[in-house]
Amino acid sequence: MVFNCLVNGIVLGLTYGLIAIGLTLLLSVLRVFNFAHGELYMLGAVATYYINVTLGINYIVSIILSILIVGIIGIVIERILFRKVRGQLIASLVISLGLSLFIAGGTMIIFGEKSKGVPTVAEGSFEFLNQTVSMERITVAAASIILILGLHLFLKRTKLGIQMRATAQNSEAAALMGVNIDQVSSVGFAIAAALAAAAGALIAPLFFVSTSLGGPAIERAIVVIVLGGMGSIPGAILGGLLLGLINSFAASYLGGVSEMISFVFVIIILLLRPQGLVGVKGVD
Amino acid sequence: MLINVDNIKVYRGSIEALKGVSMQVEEGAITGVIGANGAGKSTLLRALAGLSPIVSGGIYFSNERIDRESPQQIARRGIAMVPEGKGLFPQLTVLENLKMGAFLLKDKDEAERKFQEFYRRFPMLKNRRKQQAGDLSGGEQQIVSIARALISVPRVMLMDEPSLGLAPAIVKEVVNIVLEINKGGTSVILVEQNAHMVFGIAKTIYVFETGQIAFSGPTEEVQQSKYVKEAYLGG
Repeated sequence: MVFNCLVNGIVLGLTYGLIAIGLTLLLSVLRVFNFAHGELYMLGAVATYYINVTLGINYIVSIILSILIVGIIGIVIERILFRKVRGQLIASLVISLGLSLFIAGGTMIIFGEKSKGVPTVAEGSFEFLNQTVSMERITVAAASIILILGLHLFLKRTKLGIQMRATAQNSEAAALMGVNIDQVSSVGFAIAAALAAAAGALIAPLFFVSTSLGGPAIERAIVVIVLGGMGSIPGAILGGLLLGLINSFAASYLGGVSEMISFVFVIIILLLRPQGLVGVKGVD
Repeated sequence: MLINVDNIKVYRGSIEALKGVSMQVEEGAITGVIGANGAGKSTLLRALAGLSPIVSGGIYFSNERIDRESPQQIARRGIAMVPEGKGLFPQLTVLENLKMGAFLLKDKDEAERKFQEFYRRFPMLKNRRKQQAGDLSGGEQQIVSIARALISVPRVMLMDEPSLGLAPAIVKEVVNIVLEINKGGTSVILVEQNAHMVFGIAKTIYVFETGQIAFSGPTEEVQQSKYVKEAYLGG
């Protein structure tokens, strides 16, 4: 039981982390709050359903296509909606609230109200310390870790990556150095959207696909970034893992009241460490 | 004149920070800008760099109008800035900060040569190149900020209070750097509260007071003027 909770918690937590990383990127590089970020996660799952189940395309290709499609959607959204409100947290919150309703409602008209399933591809299980873990869960975890590592390498080693970090730390100085802030913002949004979509695409076979995935996702992402410390990517990962574990154990051991217990845990952690796990006091 | 500032008005928030300022900046010279806190000196540099929009008037660089351009476009013209508060990227390493300074340089080998040149001149930079810039002392940060602006070999350096909060020994070093880059052909606009520093190296000086130019002229004239004598030299 404990082992299962652990595995589930880590898998869930990694996907929470992927969504929260994107939210953090948008907060730090574009200084916008994207309340519609959960909907991008939902779109990743829905796109995977359509490409994999309706069109019958291979699952891995479906994931990649979903990520690309939602990434492009992200670029379009940034250009049309968010570019004008860069740096304005409240305005971006209001706009993205409307956007989230629009995306969720619009998708529901096409997809329908019923949840649908995406078949598992990774068959079998893996023996580990006398316990079994399904291959499914292992692949989700592995894929998430690869994406996170990929992002880390991008930010640390590529020219665009260092531009993004510079813009997040001092956007005026970055502009003075000749950085094209519009370009950095576009790429940042595309990456954030892609990560959320990846989480949705990966989780689709494990649970279910529906157009109501977005709401809980953004709620959890907000809790994660507060837990982990706003503006910190490692914090988003750690916070995601922690919330995943809390939710997983609470669901198993406490059943119905697990959501509430999760929040109680989070409140306790924040009381002890208001800056979050990795955050710095007084920053944002 | 390399830079022509024509009667510009600039707002910082709801306050009129520059109330109709005109200036001519000579190519190859060090032009000093002095005045009390809040007199508008920083705002002037921000307007030149494209960070603060002007509401009226114009700014011309080599007879081309630049006040509508973005900071990125102005940087591409070879106008570099050492901002107030150093403007470093605190969680980037010293080397990464320098690399950002080399961002517009086409020739990456030249950038590497410049890094080596700075390491030779400032062994401190070399020792700390992998440290986060935010962890350095005030003086070290200022050196990094200046080095970063110099990497692109700018035509114009805008320097906003480079001596602020620095020990006298470091200020001397900063003065030497300014003289050196000027000898190399870079025009410098030096904003300072430390008037003595400016008197020592500038060719022309503009004295700002509450958003306007109170007095200007060749350094000797400005230094001898009654206005400056009373305000700065105590008598």
